[in-house]
Amino acid sequence: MATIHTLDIAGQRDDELLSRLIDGECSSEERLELEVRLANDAKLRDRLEQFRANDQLLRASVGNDDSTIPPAVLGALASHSPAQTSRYSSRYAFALAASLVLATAALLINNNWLQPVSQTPQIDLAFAEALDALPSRAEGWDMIEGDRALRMVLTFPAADGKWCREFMLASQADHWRGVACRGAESWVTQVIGRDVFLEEVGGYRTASASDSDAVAQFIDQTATGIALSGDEEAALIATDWSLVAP
Amino acid sequence: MNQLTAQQKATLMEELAGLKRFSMSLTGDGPDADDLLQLTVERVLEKGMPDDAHAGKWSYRVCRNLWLDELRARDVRARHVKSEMVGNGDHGVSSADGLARLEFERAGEALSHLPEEQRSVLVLVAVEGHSYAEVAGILDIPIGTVMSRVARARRSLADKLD
Repeated sequence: MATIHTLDIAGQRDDELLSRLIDGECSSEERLELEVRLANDAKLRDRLEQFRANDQLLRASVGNDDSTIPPAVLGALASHSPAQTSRYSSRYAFALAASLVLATAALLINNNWLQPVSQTPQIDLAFAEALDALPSRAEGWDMIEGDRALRMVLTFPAADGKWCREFMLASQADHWRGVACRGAESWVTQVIGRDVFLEEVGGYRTASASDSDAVAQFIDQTATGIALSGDEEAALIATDWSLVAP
Repeated sequence: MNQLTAQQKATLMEELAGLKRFSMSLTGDGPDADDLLQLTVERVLEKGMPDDAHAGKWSYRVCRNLWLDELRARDVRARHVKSEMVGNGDHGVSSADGLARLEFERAGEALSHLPEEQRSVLVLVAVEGHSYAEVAGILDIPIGTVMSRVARARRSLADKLD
């Protein structure tokens, strides 16, 4: 005679419900319904207690195992240097201009690098609104009116009490890097020069030690503190640049 | 993949004890658990993780995947891992501590005989206290699967320890 295997479907369903009850994964309706059943069903209560007791035994058993962390593991973690998450973590952030150049561009430096202001992009309304509102970023571009790509690099307080921003600006014709500072009514360009932003790998040369990063030098000479963190800059933008520079 | 941030590194440090217990539940063997833990941490430090990843959950997943790779490499089926009884074989203990230890060993042996997929979810839920959703994320399986595996694991454990 063939052996008949009976599947305890109801029992499996109850085991799953009890399991979820123990783990706090029942809906409130399921929990209420189960509590009513438990009040009237001794066998179900015993099963619940069995599961709970075994869980406790398991925790004690696993906890009883040697939980010592191998010294090699602790050593590996201790010697690991976390990634820098703040773009503005130190005074050296002002050389960020140079590092961004290495990552994105060849910086063409020559004696005539600094162009007369009249030949440089003017801060029109779209540019000014962007200076007012756009957060700084380490990569990527924001498009503004006139088919121009703009990247705010960093924000810093200047010696004269103004807030200043380093920016990169690319149009079809030219690439620029500069600093603008916010007066009472408007943004005024302080320094600007041509730059070349090349994205393709191998398509740039690194700036040599003798090249001068005029923008970085300007920042170094006029800034009174380190560049603002993302949160500080966001707060400044949110208050419409009304916070007093240190 | 990004290098670990300071926050992720701190989270990973906090999770080490839980990861050690998880490694132990997977391997059933102290030295193997140490090796697995070390390999897990080295892999996480080497490969990094996304900036928004939770270091603990990510590490549990790395740990389990490394163990599955190890099993495949050794051609050992986890459900036949035997835990060895340590001691002189004399189970006639009289002290309360000895009885408790015996119960722990029985529970540990019963755990080691569960299929790997049941063992890992049961440890993560019942021992480490993760929610079903967290375990689903760690093991990259549907929540329904977590639910049914935990219930089956408890059922199997109850049958073995009854």
